[in-house]
Amino acid sequence: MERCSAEILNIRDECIKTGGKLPLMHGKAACDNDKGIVPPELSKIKHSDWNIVKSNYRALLTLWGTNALLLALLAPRWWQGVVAGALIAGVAWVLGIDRTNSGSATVAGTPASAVRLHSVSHADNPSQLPVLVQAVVPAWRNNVQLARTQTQEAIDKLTQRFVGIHQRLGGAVSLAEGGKNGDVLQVIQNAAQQLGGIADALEQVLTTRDALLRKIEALSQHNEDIRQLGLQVEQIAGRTGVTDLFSDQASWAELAARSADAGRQIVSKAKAVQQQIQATHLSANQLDADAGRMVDDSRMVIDSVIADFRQSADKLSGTVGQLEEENREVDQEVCDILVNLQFQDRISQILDHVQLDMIKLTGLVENAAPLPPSAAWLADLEKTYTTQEQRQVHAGQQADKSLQSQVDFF
Amino acid sequence: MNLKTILIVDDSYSLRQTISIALKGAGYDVVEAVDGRDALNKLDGRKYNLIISDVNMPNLDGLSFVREAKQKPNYKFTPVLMLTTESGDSRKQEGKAIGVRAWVHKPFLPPVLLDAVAKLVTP
Repeated sequence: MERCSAEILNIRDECIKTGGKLPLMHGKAACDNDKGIVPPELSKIKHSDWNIVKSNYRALLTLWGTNALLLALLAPRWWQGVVAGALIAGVAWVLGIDRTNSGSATVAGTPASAVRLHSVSHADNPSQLPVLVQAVVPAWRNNVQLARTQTQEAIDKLTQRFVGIHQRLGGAVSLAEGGKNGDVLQVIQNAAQQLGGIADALEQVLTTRDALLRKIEALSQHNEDIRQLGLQVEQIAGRTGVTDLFSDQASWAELAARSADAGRQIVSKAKAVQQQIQATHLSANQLDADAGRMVDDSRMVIDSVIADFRQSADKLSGTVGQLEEENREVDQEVCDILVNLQFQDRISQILDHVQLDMIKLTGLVENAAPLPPSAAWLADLEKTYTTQEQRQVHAGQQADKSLQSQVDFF
Repeated sequence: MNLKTILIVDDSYSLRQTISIALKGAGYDVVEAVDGRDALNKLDGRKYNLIISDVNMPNLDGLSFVREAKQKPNYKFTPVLMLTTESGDSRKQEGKAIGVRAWVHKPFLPPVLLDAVAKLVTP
Protein backbone atom coordinates (compact mmCIF):
# COMPACT_ATOMS: atom_id res chain seq x y z
CA MET A 1 0.00 0.00 0.00
CA GLU A 2 2.85 2.36 0.84
CA ARG A 3 4.55 1.55 -2.45
CA CYS A 4 1.35 2.36 -4.31
CA SER A 5 1.04 5.74 -2.58
CA ALA A 6 4.62 6.57 -3.47
CA GLU A 7 3.94 5.78 -7.12
CA ILE A 8 0.94 8.08 -7.14
CA LEU A 9 2.95 10.89 -5.61
CA ASN A 10 5.59 10.38 -8.29
CA ILE A 11 2.92 10.58 -10.97
CA ARG A 12 1.66 13.85 -9.53
CA ASP A 13 5.13 15.33 -9.36
CA GLU A 14 5.90 14.30 -12.93
CA CYS A 15 2.63 15.79 -14.10
CA ILE A 16 3.48 19.12 -12.53
CA LYS A 17 7.02 19.06 -13.95
CA THR A 18 5.84 18.34 -17.49
CA GLY A 19 3.45 21.23 -17.39
CA GLY A 20 0.31 19.25 -17.51
CA LYS A 21 1.37 16.35 -19.70
CA LEU A 22 -0.19 13.43 -17.97
CA PRO A 23 2.46 10.84 -17.23
CA LEU A 24 1.91 7.26 -18.12
CA MET A 25 0.49 5.28 -15.28
CA HIS A 26 3.44 3.08 -14.57
CA GLY A 27 2.09 2.85 -11.05
CA LYS A 28 -0.77 0.70 -12.30
CA ALA A 29 1.17 -2.47 -12.13
CA ALA A 30 2.25 -1.72 -8.62
CA CYS A 31 -1.29 -1.01 -7.54
CA ASP A 32 -2.65 -4.07 -9.28
CA ASN A 33 0.06 -6.22 -7.85
CA ASP A 34 -0.92 -4.98 -4.46
CA LYS A 35 -4.34 -6.51 -5.04
CA GLY A 36 -5.78 -3.09 -5.64
CA ILE A 37 -5.49 -2.12 -2.02
CA VAL A 38 -5.14 1.60 -2.40
CA PRO A 39 -5.24 4.15 0.36
CA PRO A 40 -8.22 6.48 0.55
CA GLU A 41 -6.05 9.52 -0.20
CA LEU A 42 -5.37 8.08 -3.67
CA SER A 43 -8.50 9.51 -5.25
CA LYS A 44 -7.87 12.93 -3.74
CA ILE A 45 -4.36 12.97 -5.20
CA LYS A 46 -5.62 12.04 -8.67
CA HIS A 47 -8.36 14.64 -8.69
CA SER A 48 -6.00 17.41 -7.61
CA ASP A 49 -3.47 16.33 -10.23
CA TRP A 50 -6.09 16.54 -12.89
CA ASN A 51 -7.12 20.01 -11.79
CA ILE A 52 -3.53 21.11 -12.40
CA VAL A 53 -3.57 19.48 -15.82
CA LYS A 54 -6.86 21.12 -16.78
CA SER A 55 -5.77 24.59 -15.65
CA ASN A 56 -2.58 24.30 -17.72
CA TYR A 57 -4.55 23.46 -20.83
CA ARG A 58 -6.76 26.53 -20.35
CA ALA A 59 -3.63 28.67 -20.31
CA LEU A 60 -2.46 27.01 -23.51
CA LEU A 61 -5.79 27.64 -25.18
CA THR A 62 -5.55 31.31 -24.25
CA LEU A 63 -2.04 31.34 -25.67
CA TRP A 64 -3.19 29.68 -28.86
CA GLY A 65 -6.13 32.16 -29.20
CA THR A 66 -3.74 35.07 -28.90
CA ASN A 67 -1.55 33.39 -31.49
CA ALA A 68 -4.52 33.19 -33.93
CA LEU A 69 -5.30 36.88 -33.40
CA LEU A 70 -1.69 37.79 -34.17
CA LEU A 71 -1.77 35.62 -37.29
CA ALA A 72 -4.90 37.44 -38.46
CA LEU A 73 -3.17 40.76 -37.99
CA LEU A 74 0.09 39.66 -39.62
CA ALA A 75 -1.36 37.64 -42.51
CA PRO A 76 -1.36 39.14 -46.03
CA ARG A 77 -5.13 38.99 -45.89
CA TRP A 78 -6.73 39.41 -42.50
CA TRP A 79 -9.29 36.62 -43.01
CA GLN A 80 -6.50 34.15 -43.83
CA GLY A 81 -4.93 34.93 -40.46
CA VAL A 82 -8.29 34.55 -38.71
CA VAL A 83 -8.90 31.20 -40.41
CA ALA A 84 -5.40 29.97 -39.56
CA GLY A 85 -5.77 31.15 -35.95
CA ALA A 86 -9.24 29.60 -35.68
CA LEU A 87 -7.96 26.33 -37.06
CA ILE A 88 -5.04 26.29 -34.64
CA ALA A 89 -7.31 27.23 -31.75
CA GLY A 90 -9.87 24.59 -32.83
CA VAL A 91 -7.24 21.91 -33.04
CA ALA A 92 -5.88 23.00 -29.69
CA TRP A 93 -9.36 22.92 -28.19
CA VAL A 94 -10.09 19.50 -29.60
CA LEU A 95 -6.76 18.25 -28.37
CA GLY A 96 -7.51 19.74 -24.95
CA ILE A 97 -10.86 17.94 -24.73
CA ASP A 98 -9.32 14.67 -25.86
CA ARG A 99 -6.59 15.03 -23.34
CA THR A 100 -9.12 15.81 -20.67
CA ASN A 101 -11.23 12.79 -21.56
CA SER A 102 -8.30 10.44 -21.99
CA GLY A 103 -6.78 11.69 -18.75
CA SER A 104 -10.03 11.22 -16.93
CA ALA A 105 -10.41 7.75 -18.37
CA THR A 106 -6.88 6.89 -17.38
CA VAL A 107 -7.42 8.13 -13.88
CA ALA A 108 -10.65 6.22 -13.61
CA GLY A 109 -9.21 3.05 -15.04
CA THR A 110 -5.56 2.91 -14.19
CA PRO A 111 -5.12 2.77 -10.45
CA ALA A 112 -7.44 -0.13 -10.55
CA SER A 113 -9.89 -0.94 -7.87
CA ALA A 114 -9.53 1.99 -5.58
CA VAL A 115 -10.57 4.56 -8.12
CA ARG A 116 -13.17 2.29 -9.56
CA LEU A 117 -14.43 1.74 -6.08
CA HIS A 118 -14.95 5.46 -5.69
CA SER A 119 -16.51 5.78 -9.09
CA VAL A 120 -18.87 2.92 -8.43
CA SER A 121 -19.66 3.10 -4.81
CA HIS A 122 -19.64 6.82 -4.39
CA ALA A 123 -21.03 7.79 -7.73
CA ASP A 124 -23.52 5.01 -8.35
CA ASN A 125 -24.59 4.26 -4.79
CA PRO A 126 -22.57 6.29 -2.34
CA SER A 127 -24.57 5.25 0.72
CA GLN A 128 -24.50 1.47 0.13
CA LEU A 129 -21.08 0.63 1.63
CA PRO A 130 -21.54 2.45 4.95
CA VAL A 131 -25.00 0.96 5.32
CA LEU A 132 -23.71 -2.50 4.58
CA VAL A 133 -20.74 -2.12 6.89
CA GLN A 134 -23.00 -0.77 9.61
CA ALA A 135 -25.19 -3.84 9.29
CA VAL A 136 -22.53 -6.52 8.83
CA VAL A 137 -19.89 -5.44 11.32
CA PRO A 138 -22.19 -6.02 14.34
CA ALA A 139 -22.76 -9.56 13.07
CA TRP A 140 -19.03 -10.09 12.82
CA ARG A 141 -18.62 -8.51 16.23
CA ASN A 142 -21.25 -10.83 17.73
CA ASN A 143 -19.52 -13.84 16.26
CA VAL A 144 -16.13 -12.72 17.48
CA GLN A 145 -17.63 -12.02 20.90
CA LEU A 146 -19.19 -15.49 20.91
CA ALA A 147 -15.82 -16.99 20.07
CA ARG A 148 -14.17 -14.93 22.78
CA THR A 149 -16.77 -15.94 25.36
CA GLN A 150 -16.51 -19.59 24.46
CA THR A 151 -12.73 -19.40 24.57
CA GLN A 152 -12.78 -17.70 27.93
CA GLU A 153 -15.25 -20.16 29.43
CA ALA A 154 -13.38 -23.13 28.05
CA ILE A 155 -10.06 -21.81 29.26
CA ASP A 156 -11.57 -21.16 32.71
CA LYS A 157 -12.87 -24.72 32.83
CA LEU A 158 -9.57 -26.08 31.63
CA THR A 159 -7.78 -24.04 34.27
CA GLN A 160 -10.07 -25.44 36.94
CA ARG A 161 -9.41 -28.95 35.67
CA PHE A 162 -5.68 -28.45 35.64
CA VAL A 163 -5.78 -27.00 39.15
CA GLY A 164 -7.77 -30.06 40.21
CA ILE A 165 -5.25 -32.38 38.61
CA HIS A 166 -2.40 -30.47 40.19
CA GLN A 167 -3.97 -30.82 43.62
CA ARG A 168 -4.76 -34.48 43.14
CA LEU A 169 -1.28 -35.26 41.95
CA GLY A 170 0.09 -33.38 44.96
CA GLY A 171 -2.14 -35.45 47.24
CA ALA A 172 -1.08 -38.64 45.51
CA VAL A 173 2.57 -37.74 45.94
CA SER A 174 1.98 -37.08 49.65
CA LEU A 175 0.21 -40.43 49.96
CA ALA A 176 3.04 -42.18 48.21
CA GLU A 177 5.57 -40.45 50.43
CA GLY A 178 3.47 -41.40 53.48
CA GLY A 179 3.49 -44.99 52.36
CA LYS A 180 7.17 -44.88 51.66
CA ASN A 181 8.15 -43.32 55.00
CA GLY A 182 5.45 -44.96 57.04
CA ASP A 183 5.55 -47.63 59.67
CA VAL A 184 6.35 -50.52 57.40
CA LEU A 185 10.10 -50.46 57.88
CA GLN A 186 9.68 -49.82 61.59
CA VAL A 187 7.24 -52.69 61.82
CA ILE A 188 9.69 -55.00 60.10
CA GLN A 189 12.50 -53.88 62.39
CA ASN A 190 10.33 -54.36 65.45
CA ALA A 191 9.23 -57.75 64.17
CA ALA A 192 12.85 -58.79 63.63
CA GLN A 193 13.73 -57.67 67.13
CA GLN A 194 10.77 -59.35 68.78
CA LEU A 195 11.10 -62.56 66.80
CA GLY A 196 14.80 -62.52 67.65
CA GLY A 197 13.77 -62.61 71.34
CA ILE A 198 11.65 -65.66 70.62
CA ALA A 199 14.60 -67.31 68.95
CA ASP A 200 16.74 -66.57 71.99
CA ALA A 201 14.09 -68.04 74.26
CA LEU A 202 13.86 -71.11 72.04
CA GLU A 203 17.63 -71.52 72.19
CA GLN A 204 17.42 -71.26 75.98
CA VAL A 205 14.76 -73.96 76.04
CA LEU A 206 16.93 -76.12 73.83
CA THR A 207 19.85 -75.62 76.19
CA THR A 208 17.68 -76.57 79.15
CA ARG A 209 16.43 -79.58 77.25
CA ASP A 210 20.00 -80.65 76.45
CA ALA A 211 20.90 -80.35 80.13
CA LEU A 212 17.85 -82.43 81.01
CA LEU A 213 18.85 -85.05 78.48
CA ARG A 214 22.32 -85.14 79.93
CA LYS A 215 20.82 -85.68 83.38
CA ILE A 216 18.60 -88.42 82.05
CA GLU A 217 21.62 -90.03 80.44
CA ALA A 218 23.45 -89.79 83.79
CA LEU A 219 20.43 -91.41 85.45
CA SER A 220 20.59 -94.15 82.87
CA GLN A 221 24.25 -94.63 83.67
CA HIS A 222 23.48 -94.75 87.41
CA ASN A 223 20.72 -97.24 86.69
CA GLU A 224 23.21 -99.39 84.81
CA ASP A 225 25.63 -99.18 87.72
CA ILE A 226 22.90 -100.23 90.12
CA ARG A 227 21.99 -103.11 87.83
CA GLN A 228 25.61 -104.25 87.78
CA LEU A 229 25.78 -104.05 91.54
CA GLY A 230 22.59 -106.05 91.75
CA LEU A 231 24.13 -108.68 89.48
CA GLN A 232 27.17 -108.80 91.71
CA VAL A 233 24.96 -109.27 94.76
CA GLU A 234 23.10 -111.93 92.86
CA GLN A 235 26.35 -113.68 92.01
CA ILE A 236 27.39 -113.50 95.67
CA ALA A 237 24.05 -114.92 96.60
CA GLY A 238 24.49 -117.63 93.93
CA ARG A 239 27.65 -118.73 95.47
CA THR A 240 26.04 -119.08 98.88
CA GLY A 241 24.35 -122.38 98.07
CA VAL A 242 23.49 -125.18 100.49
CA THR A 243 27.08 -126.42 100.46
CA ASP A 244 28.24 -122.97 101.40
CA LEU A 245 26.01 -123.03 104.41
CA PHE A 246 28.43 -125.47 105.86
CA SER A 247 31.59 -123.68 104.94
CA ASP A 248 33.81 -122.08 107.45
CA GLN A 249 33.38 -118.96 109.42
CA ALA A 250 35.83 -117.08 107.22
CA SER A 251 33.89 -117.72 104.16
CA TRP A 252 30.75 -116.36 105.81
CA ALA A 253 32.62 -113.31 106.89
CA GLU A 254 33.99 -112.72 103.42
CA LEU A 255 30.59 -113.11 101.87
CA ALA A 256 29.10 -110.77 104.40
CA ALA A 257 31.79 -108.23 103.73
CA ARG A 258 31.32 -108.38 100.00
CA SER A 259 27.56 -108.15 100.34
CA ALA A 260 27.89 -105.25 102.69
CA ASP A 261 30.20 -103.50 100.25
CA ALA A 262 27.82 -104.14 97.40
CA GLY A 263 24.94 -102.95 99.54
CA ARG A 264 26.76 -99.77 100.44
CA GLN A 265 27.50 -99.16 96.81
CA ILE A 266 23.88 -99.76 95.93
CA VAL A 267 22.79 -97.40 98.65
CA SER A 268 25.28 -94.86 97.45
CA LYS A 269 24.21 -95.24 93.88
CA ALA A 270 20.57 -95.18 94.86
CA LYS A 271 21.17 -91.97 96.77
CA ALA A 272 22.93 -90.45 93.75
CA VAL A 273 20.12 -91.62 91.54
CA GLN A 274 17.60 -90.10 93.89
CA GLN A 275 19.46 -86.83 93.77
CA GLN A 276 19.69 -87.03 90.02
CA ILE A 277 16.00 -87.78 89.81
CA GLN A 278 15.20 -84.83 91.99
CA ALA A 279 17.49 -82.61 89.91
CA THR A 280 15.98 -83.95 86.72
CA HIS A 281 12.52 -83.40 88.12
CA LEU A 282 13.44 -79.85 88.96
CA SER A 283 14.97 -79.36 85.53
CA ALA A 284 11.93 -80.86 83.90
CA ASN A 285 9.67 -78.61 85.91
CA GLN A 286 11.89 -75.67 85.08
CA LEU A 287 11.86 -76.64 81.44
CA ASP A 288 8.11 -76.96 81.53
CA ALA A 289 7.75 -73.59 83.18
CA ASP A 290 10.23 -71.99 80.82
CA ALA A 291 8.58 -73.59 77.79
CA GLY A 292 5.15 -72.49 78.93
CA ARG A 293 6.35 -68.98 79.59
CA MET A 294 8.23 -68.95 76.32
CA VAL A 295 5.17 -70.16 74.42
CA ASP A 296 3.10 -67.46 76.08
CA ASP A 297 5.72 -64.84 75.38
CA SER A 298 6.11 -66.06 71.81
CA ARG A 299 2.38 -65.98 71.28
CA MET A 300 2.25 -62.43 72.56
CA VAL A 301 5.18 -61.38 70.41
CA ILE A 302 3.76 -63.09 67.35
CA ASP A 303 0.34 -61.56 67.99
CA SER A 304 1.97 -58.18 68.36
CA VAL A 305 3.99 -58.62 65.19
CA ILE A 306 0.94 -59.82 63.28
CA ALA A 307 -1.07 -56.89 64.61
CA ASP A 308 1.63 -54.48 63.54
CA PHE A 309 1.80 -56.09 60.10
CA ARG A 310 -1.98 -56.04 59.83
CA GLN A 311 -2.04 -52.37 60.75
CA SER A 312 0.65 -51.59 58.20
CA ALA A 313 -1.08 -53.71 55.60
CA ASP A 314 -4.38 -51.94 56.29
CA LYS A 315 -2.61 -48.62 56.02
CA LEU A 316 -0.95 -49.64 52.77
CA SER A 317 -4.22 -50.99 51.46
CA GLY A 318 -5.90 -47.71 52.34
CA THR A 319 -3.15 -45.77 50.63
CA VAL A 320 -3.39 -47.93 47.54
CA GLY A 321 -7.16 -47.47 47.59
CA GLN A 322 -6.78 -43.71 47.87
CA LEU A 323 -4.21 -43.69 45.07
CA GLU A 324 -6.57 -45.72 42.90
CA GLU A 325 -9.37 -43.27 43.65
CA GLU A 326 -7.09 -40.33 42.86
CA ASN A 327 -6.07 -42.07 39.66
CA ARG A 328 -9.72 -42.46 38.67
CA GLU A 329 -10.39 -38.82 39.47
CA VAL A 330 -7.39 -37.65 37.45
CA ASP A 331 -8.50 -39.86 34.58
CA GLN A 332 -11.95 -38.29 34.75
CA GLU A 333 -10.40 -34.82 34.85
CA VAL A 334 -8.37 -35.62 31.74
CA CYS A 335 -11.50 -36.88 29.97
CA ASP A 336 -13.29 -33.67 30.91
CA ILE A 337 -10.37 -31.67 29.59
CA LEU A 338 -10.58 -33.49 26.29
CA VAL A 339 -14.28 -32.70 26.13
CA ASN A 340 -13.61 -29.04 26.90
CA LEU A 341 -10.93 -28.94 24.23
CA GLN A 342 -13.71 -29.37 21.68
CA PHE A 343 -14.30 -25.63 22.02
CA GLN A 344 -11.40 -25.14 19.61
CA ASP A 345 -13.36 -26.80 16.81
CA ARG A 346 -16.40 -24.60 17.35
CA ILE A 347 -14.41 -21.40 17.69
CA SER A 348 -12.40 -22.24 14.61
CA GLN A 349 -15.64 -22.59 12.67
CA ILE A 350 -17.11 -19.35 14.04
CA LEU A 351 -13.99 -17.38 13.16
CA ASP A 352 -13.86 -19.11 9.78
CA HIS A 353 -17.35 -17.83 8.99
CA VAL A 354 -16.37 -14.29 9.95
CA GLN A 355 -13.16 -14.55 7.96
CA LEU A 356 -14.97 -15.80 4.86
CA ASP A 357 -17.47 -12.96 5.15
CA MET A 358 -14.65 -10.44 5.39
CA ILE A 359 -13.02 -11.96 2.32
CA LYS A 360 -16.36 -11.78 0.53
CA LEU A 361 -16.74 -8.07 1.26
CA THR A 362 -13.13 -7.34 0.31
CA GLY A 363 -13.59 -9.21 -2.94
CA LEU A 364 -16.68 -7.24 -3.88
CA VAL A 365 -14.96 -3.96 -3.07
CA GLU A 366 -11.86 -4.90 -5.04
CA ASN A 367 -13.84 -5.92 -8.06
CA ALA A 368 -16.13 -2.92 -7.74
CA ALA A 369 -19.05 -5.30 -7.82
CA PRO A 370 -22.44 -3.97 -6.79
CA LEU A 371 -22.95 -4.32 -3.06
CA PRO A 372 -26.06 -6.21 -2.04
CA PRO A 373 -28.56 -4.85 0.44
CA SER A 374 -27.43 -5.40 4.02
CA ALA A 375 -30.44 -7.62 4.80
CA ALA A 376 -29.51 -9.97 1.97
CA TRP A 377 -25.91 -9.97 3.10
CA LEU A 378 -26.87 -10.82 6.68
CA ALA A 379 -29.21 -13.56 5.49
CA ASP A 380 -26.36 -15.09 3.48
CA LEU A 381 -24.05 -14.83 6.48
CA GLU A 382 -26.61 -16.57 8.67
CA LYS A 383 -26.80 -19.43 6.20
CA THR A 384 -23.13 -20.19 6.85
CA TYR A 385 -23.71 -20.72 10.57
CA THR A 386 -23.56 -24.24 11.90
CA THR A 387 -24.25 -23.80 15.59
CA GLN A 388 -27.41 -22.79 17.36
CA GLU A 389 -25.45 -20.26 19.42
CA GLN A 390 -24.33 -18.45 16.27
CA ARG A 391 -27.90 -18.14 15.09
CA GLN A 392 -28.92 -16.91 18.50
CA VAL A 393 -26.25 -14.21 18.74
CA HIS A 394 -26.92 -13.26 15.13
CA ALA A 395 -30.50 -12.55 16.13
CA GLY A 396 -29.22 -10.51 19.05
CA GLN A 397 -30.13 -13.15 21.62
CA GLN A 398 -28.04 -14.59 24.40
CA ALA A 399 -26.21 -17.78 23.48
CA ASP A 400 -27.83 -20.78 25.14
CA LYS A 401 -25.12 -22.54 27.11
CA SER A 402 -27.34 -25.52 27.90
CA LEU A 403 -27.06 -26.89 24.37
CA GLN A 404 -24.97 -29.94 25.14
CA SER A 405 -24.46 -33.26 23.46
CA GLN A 406 -27.91 -33.66 21.97
CA VAL A 407 -28.55 -36.88 20.06
CA ASP A 408 -31.14 -37.34 17.33
CA PHE A 409 -31.84 -40.88 16.14
CA PHE A 410 -33.44 -41.40 12.75
CA MET B 1 -10.82 -61.09 21.05
CA ASN B 2 -12.44 -59.67 17.94
CA LEU B 3 -12.90 -55.93 18.49
CA LYS B 4 -15.58 -53.99 16.69
CA THR B 5 -14.05 -51.43 14.37
CA ILE B 6 -15.31 -47.86 14.01
CA LEU B 7 -14.22 -45.43 11.28
CA ILE B 8 -13.86 -41.86 12.56
CA VAL B 9 -13.93 -39.07 9.97
CA ASP B 10 -13.07 -35.58 11.23
CA ASP B 11 -10.69 -32.88 10.02
CA SER B 12 -9.89 -31.80 13.58
CA TYR B 13 -7.00 -33.74 15.08
CA SER B 14 -8.07 -32.94 18.65
CA LEU B 15 -11.60 -34.15 17.96
CA ARG B 16 -10.33 -37.37 16.41
CA GLN B 17 -8.20 -37.95 19.48
CA THR B 18 -11.06 -37.24 21.84
CA ILE B 19 -13.42 -39.59 20.01
CA SER B 20 -10.72 -42.20 19.68
CA ILE B 21 -9.89 -42.20 23.39
CA ALA B 22 -13.55 -42.50 24.30
CA LEU B 23 -14.13 -45.40 21.90
CA LYS B 24 -10.93 -47.27 22.70
CA GLY B 25 -11.71 -46.89 26.39
CA ALA B 26 -15.00 -48.67 25.70
CA GLY B 27 -13.24 -51.50 23.89
CA TYR B 28 -13.66 -50.51 20.26
CA ASP B 29 -10.99 -50.54 17.60
CA VAL B 30 -10.65 -47.27 15.71
CA VAL B 31 -9.59 -46.21 12.22
CA GLU B 32 -9.17 -42.47 11.58
CA ALA B 33 -9.69 -40.40 8.43
CA VAL B 34 -8.96 -36.69 8.08
CA ASP B 35 -11.78 -35.86 5.65
CA GLY B 36 -14.37 -37.46 3.39
CA ARG B 37 -11.87 -38.14 0.62
CA ASP B 38 -9.49 -39.88 3.01
CA ALA B 39 -12.40 -41.84 4.46
CA LEU B 40 -13.47 -43.08 1.03
CA ASN B 41 -9.93 -44.35 0.48
CA LYS B 42 -10.23 -46.28 3.72
CA LEU B 43 -13.41 -48.02 2.58
CA ASP B 44 -11.12 -50.61 1.04
CA GLY B 45 -12.98 -53.78 1.93
CA ARG B 46 -12.24 -53.99 5.62
CA LYS B 47 -15.26 -54.27 7.86
CA TYR B 48 -16.47 -51.32 9.89
CA ASN B 49 -19.17 -51.83 12.48
CA LEU B 50 -19.95 -48.12 12.51
CA ILE B 51 -18.90 -44.89 10.81
CA ILE B 52 -18.73 -41.63 12.77
CA SER B 53 -18.34 -38.58 10.58
CA ASP B 54 -18.17 -34.81 10.88
CA VAL B 55 -20.21 -32.73 8.39
CA ASN B 56 -18.12 -29.68 7.56
CA MET B 57 -14.76 -30.84 6.25
CA PRO B 58 -12.39 -29.83 3.46
CA ASN B 59 -11.99 -31.81 0.22
CA LEU B 60 -15.15 -33.84 0.72
CA ASP B 61 -17.79 -32.96 3.30
CA GLY B 62 -19.40 -35.53 5.55
CA LEU B 63 -22.77 -35.82 3.84
CA SER B 64 -21.17 -36.20 0.41
CA PHE B 65 -18.91 -38.86 1.85
CA VAL B 66 -21.87 -40.76 3.28
CA ARG B 67 -23.67 -40.47 -0.04
CA GLU B 68 -20.70 -42.04 -1.83
CA ALA B 69 -20.11 -44.62 0.87
CA LYS B 70 -23.70 -45.83 0.58
CA GLN B 71 -23.07 -46.54 -3.10
CA LYS B 72 -20.45 -49.13 -2.17
CA PRO B 73 -21.99 -52.59 -1.72
CA ASN B 74 -19.71 -53.47 1.20
CA TYR B 75 -20.74 -50.40 3.16
CA LYS B 76 -24.31 -49.94 2.08
CA PHE B 77 -25.62 -51.18 5.41
CA THR B 78 -22.88 -49.84 7.65
CA PRO B 79 -24.58 -47.55 10.17
CA VAL B 80 -23.47 -43.91 10.10
CA LEU B 81 -23.52 -41.45 12.97
CA MET B 82 -22.87 -37.78 12.24
CA LEU B 83 -20.95 -35.94 14.97
CA THR B 84 -21.04 -32.26 14.18
CA THR B 85 -21.59 -28.68 15.31
CA GLU B 86 -24.13 -28.44 12.51
CA SER B 87 -27.55 -28.07 14.07
CA GLY B 88 -29.69 -26.97 11.16
CA ASP B 89 -32.77 -29.09 10.58
CA SER B 90 -32.29 -29.04 6.82
CA ARG B 91 -28.87 -30.68 7.12
CA LYS B 92 -30.28 -33.26 9.54
CA GLN B 93 -33.07 -34.09 7.13
CA GLU B 94 -30.54 -34.31 4.34
CA GLY B 95 -28.54 -36.74 6.44
CA LYS B 96 -31.59 -38.79 7.30
CA ALA B 97 -32.50 -38.99 3.62
CA ILE B 98 -29.15 -40.48 2.66
CA GLY B 99 -29.18 -43.08 5.41
CA VAL B 100 -27.60 -41.42 8.45
CA ARG B 101 -28.86 -43.18 11.58
CA ALA B 102 -28.02 -40.63 14.29
CA TRP B 103 -26.99 -37.01 14.63
CA VAL B 104 -24.88 -36.07 17.66
CA HIS B 105 -24.08 -32.46 18.41
CA LYS B 106 -20.65 -31.21 19.36
CA PRO B 107 -19.37 -30.66 21.94
CA PHE B 108 -20.24 -34.21 22.91
CA LEU B 109 -20.00 -35.95 26.23
CA PRO B 110 -18.24 -39.32 25.92
CA PRO B 111 -20.97 -41.28 27.76
CA VAL B 112 -23.62 -39.82 25.45
CA LEU B 113 -21.60 -40.71 22.37
CA LEU B 114 -20.85 -44.20 23.69
CA ASP B 115 -24.52 -44.76 24.40
CA ALA B 116 -25.41 -43.80 20.84
CA VAL B 117 -22.58 -45.94 19.46
CA ALA B 118 -23.75 -48.94 21.48
CA LYS B 119 -27.22 -48.57 20.00
CA LEU B 120 -25.99 -48.40 16.41
CA VAL B 121 -22.93 -50.57 16.15
CA THR B 122 -23.43 -53.77 14.18
CA PRO B 123 -22.61 -57.17 15.66
